[in-house]
Amino acid sequence: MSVLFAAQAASNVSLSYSAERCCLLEALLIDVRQAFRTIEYVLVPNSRTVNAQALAIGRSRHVRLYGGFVFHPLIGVDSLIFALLHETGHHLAPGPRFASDPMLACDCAADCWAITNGVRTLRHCSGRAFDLQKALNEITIIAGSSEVREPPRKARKRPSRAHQCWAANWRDRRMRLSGARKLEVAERCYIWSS
Amino acid sequence: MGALIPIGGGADAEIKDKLNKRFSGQNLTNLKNARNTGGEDLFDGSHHLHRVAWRLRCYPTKTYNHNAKGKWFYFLHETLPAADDGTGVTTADAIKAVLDQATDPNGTITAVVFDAQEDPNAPCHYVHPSNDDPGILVGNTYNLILVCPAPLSNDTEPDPDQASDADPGEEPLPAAAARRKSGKKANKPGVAKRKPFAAKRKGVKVARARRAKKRRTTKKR
Repeated sequence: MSVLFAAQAASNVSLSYSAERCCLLEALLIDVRQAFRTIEYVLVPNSRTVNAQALAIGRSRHVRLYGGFVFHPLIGVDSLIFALLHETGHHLAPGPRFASDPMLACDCAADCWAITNGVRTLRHCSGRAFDLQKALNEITIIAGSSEVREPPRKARKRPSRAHQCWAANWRDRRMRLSGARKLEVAERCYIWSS
Repeated sequence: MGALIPIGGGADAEIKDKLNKRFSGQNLTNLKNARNTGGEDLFDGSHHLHRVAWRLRCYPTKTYNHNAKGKWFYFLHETLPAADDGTGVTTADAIKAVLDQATDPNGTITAVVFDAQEDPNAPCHYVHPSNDDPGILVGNTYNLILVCPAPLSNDTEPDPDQASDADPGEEPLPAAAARRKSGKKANKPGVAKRKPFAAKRKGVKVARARRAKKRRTTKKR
């Protein structure tokens, strides 16, 4: 996750620290902690970083939610649940791992887990579900303003079909998650092709 | 690593990827061997992190909409040597202590996994859990997590590639092992190599000429 070169919420975006939002977050965190007991969920409210992060510290497993994302006025409950499940998926999803960190599942595996096993477990434990399409629309808006630039189309290397990972390209990722393209886990994470 | 929005991978991902590759597997063994034979300790008190990072090619090289490389060298050269989490040990020295142990030719460390986390309440950049006891050892792997109070500042610095930037006693460093191209299959014994396209075309031409000659001879008869 971008920490050193993080994408921060723009200065003209006022983060929504309303009591309603705080109660919602608290309730959500109680539910995910109950559903996934091995993961430690940490809220970092005074950060303006627009992201969430899965992190393995020694043998303990953490999910960190940054204020710029969870208090962003454009982010609703569906995006929050999707983010929590995606980050949890980095720890619990089977399949390929990040080349540079074998403790974490790569993004495509985490996404697949989030919308299958993850949401099933959460629904079973707390009755919560989410609207994936709504979550993708909300994240698309804030991802579009991210400071990290995608490489120009011509400069992109086309990896071989077997190793193609779609998680690094938000447009492709969104299409696969919404069912417009086949959702499959790539053999290797995109970090390999860097 | 493990971000919700990893668009383009980001400079963080690129740096982490390079550091993790440089300090694991054969590349780490090569660094240990070089230290054993050449005698240069890359992480002693006289070496500078920004110069070592430049020599090891551990810096962002991709195109971003900001000068990621310049910010990275400034961070290593100016920010980390001045960062002290209250333990009396600077963050630059804490990082050097971990990497010094990892590259010890007689040590048992097989990999260092780098990561970063943001904590706006942190007094400065420091190594988790603290600079005087940096890194977490899990088996033979060191987990080096940098806690950051905020993203990097916009200050930049040029590449430390001048003679004046050199650290005392520099020796040539082993090159990083080349990455195997994705999708390229190794030549297995007993499996025929595919003919290159030109050779294939030549073969087709020869076969065509042979068939034409045969047709001519049968017509004559």
